[in-house]
Amino acid sequence: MNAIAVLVAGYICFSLELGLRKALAVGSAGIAPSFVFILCVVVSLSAPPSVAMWTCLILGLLTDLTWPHEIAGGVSTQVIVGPYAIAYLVASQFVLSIRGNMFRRNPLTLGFLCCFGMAIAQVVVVAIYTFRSGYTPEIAWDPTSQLLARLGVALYTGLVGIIVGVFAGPLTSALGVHQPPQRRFTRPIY
Amino acid sequence: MSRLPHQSTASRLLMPGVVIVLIVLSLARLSWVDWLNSVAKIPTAILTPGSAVVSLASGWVLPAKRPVVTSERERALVEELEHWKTLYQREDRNNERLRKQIAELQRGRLINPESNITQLVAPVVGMSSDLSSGVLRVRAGESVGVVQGTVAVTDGVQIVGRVTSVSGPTSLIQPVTRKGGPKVAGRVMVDEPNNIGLKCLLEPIGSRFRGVVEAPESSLPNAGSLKPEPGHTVRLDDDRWPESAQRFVLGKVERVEADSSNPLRTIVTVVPTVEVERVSEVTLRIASDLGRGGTP
Repeated sequence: MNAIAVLVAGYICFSLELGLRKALAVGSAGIAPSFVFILCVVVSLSAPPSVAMWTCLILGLLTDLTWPHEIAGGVSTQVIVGPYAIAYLVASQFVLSIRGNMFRRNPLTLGFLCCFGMAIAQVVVVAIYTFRSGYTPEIAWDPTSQLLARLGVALYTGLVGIIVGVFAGPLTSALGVHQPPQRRFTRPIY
Repeated sequence: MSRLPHQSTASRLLMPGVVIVLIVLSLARLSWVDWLNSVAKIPTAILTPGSAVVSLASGWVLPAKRPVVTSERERALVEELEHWKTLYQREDRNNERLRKQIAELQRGRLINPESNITQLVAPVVGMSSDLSSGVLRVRAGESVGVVQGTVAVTDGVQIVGRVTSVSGPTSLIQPVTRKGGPKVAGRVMVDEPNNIGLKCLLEPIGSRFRGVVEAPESSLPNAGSLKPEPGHTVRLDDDRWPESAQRFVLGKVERVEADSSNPLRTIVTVVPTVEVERVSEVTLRIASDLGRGGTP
C-alpha cells in the first residue's frame, strides 16, 4: 500500500465529509454520506487484512477526534475516542470476511459493502453510546432516533459508494493497495 | 486479523491491545478523558483548511435557502425594515432596562454598566461528521477574543446559536434550533408597532422550534384579540442569554395549534428566517456582559 497516497486520500475524504455535510444533508436529522468510510471500504476490499484493519482503525480514530460531542445541553463539548475507531474496525472485519465472494469490479459491490458496512459500524456506535448513556446523563441520547437516522446515513453512503465504485479500479491502483491473486480450488492462480 | 509467520508476539498483541485501550476510552467517564480535548486540537487544526475550502465552495454552489423576494429593491427594503425593527426593539428594551436600573440605583444596588459589543464575521468551515453532534465550526477563536457563550447571528438579526467551545483558531457553535438543546424563552410579536408580544417557551426540534405561547395579560387593551398568527416575528427574551442578544429574531411563526390540555394557551411552530444549520458565515457578537446575563 502506498501510505502517502492513502494519507492524501484520507485528507481529501475528511475535507469532503466535513465540508460537504451541510450541502448534502437530507432531512432535519442531517443525514449525509461518509466519504471516510467509503475509503475504509475501498482499502478493506483490496489491501492485506492487517493493513486494512489498521487503516480503518486510524481513520475511525481521526473521526472520533475530529468532532466533539455536545454535553450538558450544549453548554460545552467533549471529545470521546473509541466508538468510531472500533466501529470502523468491525466494519472492516465484515468487508474482509466477505470480500472473497464479491465481484470487486462491479460498482454495486462497493455500494453494497458501504451500505451494510456502515450500518454495522453505526450499530456499534449506537451500542457504545447507549451503554454509556446509562451513566453519562450529560450526553443527550435517544437510541431509536439515532439508529434510524444512522441507518439513513448507511443507505446514503451506499448510494455514494456506487458512484465511487465506478472509479474504484483507478482509485485502488492509485492507493497501491494489494490485489490478491485469483484463486481456484483454494490455490492461487499466478 | 491474519497472522503472518514472520510476525513477532509484540506485533500480534498490538492490535488487541489497542482495541482494549479504545474500548476503555470509549466507555470512560467524561472527567477521565477531559485531556482528549487538547489532543483533538491537532487533527482539527490539520483538517480545518481542507474542509474550509470544500465548505466555501459548496456554500457558493448551494447557498442556504432564504425567503423568495421578487427584486433586489424588495430584498433591500425587507432587510432595512428588519434592521429598523430590531433597532426599535432594542431601544425599547434599553429604555425598560434603564428604568429598572434607575429603580435599582435608588435602592442602592450596583448595576453593571452598558456592555460593549464587538462584531466579527466568521466563515463556517465545517459541520460535525457525527449525527449526534450538530455543532458548526467557525474560523474565529481565542486570538480574536471569542469566548464561550458568544452569540452568533446571521443576516444581522437572526440568531444562529452560541459558542460552546473555543479551541485555538476555531470555535464551535451549537445551533439554537439543535434538537435536544436548551429551551429558549421568547416573545411572539403579535403587535410589533406597539411592541406587544406574548411570552413563549420554545423547544428546539431540529431546524424549528415548538412551544407554548402564554395568554396575553388581561391588563392589555384588546387582550382578547391578541393571538399569534403565522408570519408573526418571534424575538429572544431570555435572561439566560446575554443582554446584547435580547430582542434578536428567533424566527417567524409557521403554524399555530390549540393546546388541547389548556384552552388558554396556544402551541406555535417557529421557523428561523434562514436555515441556521446551513449558513456559510456568521457574525459573532463578542460582548462583555457574558458574565452577568449570558451564562452559556
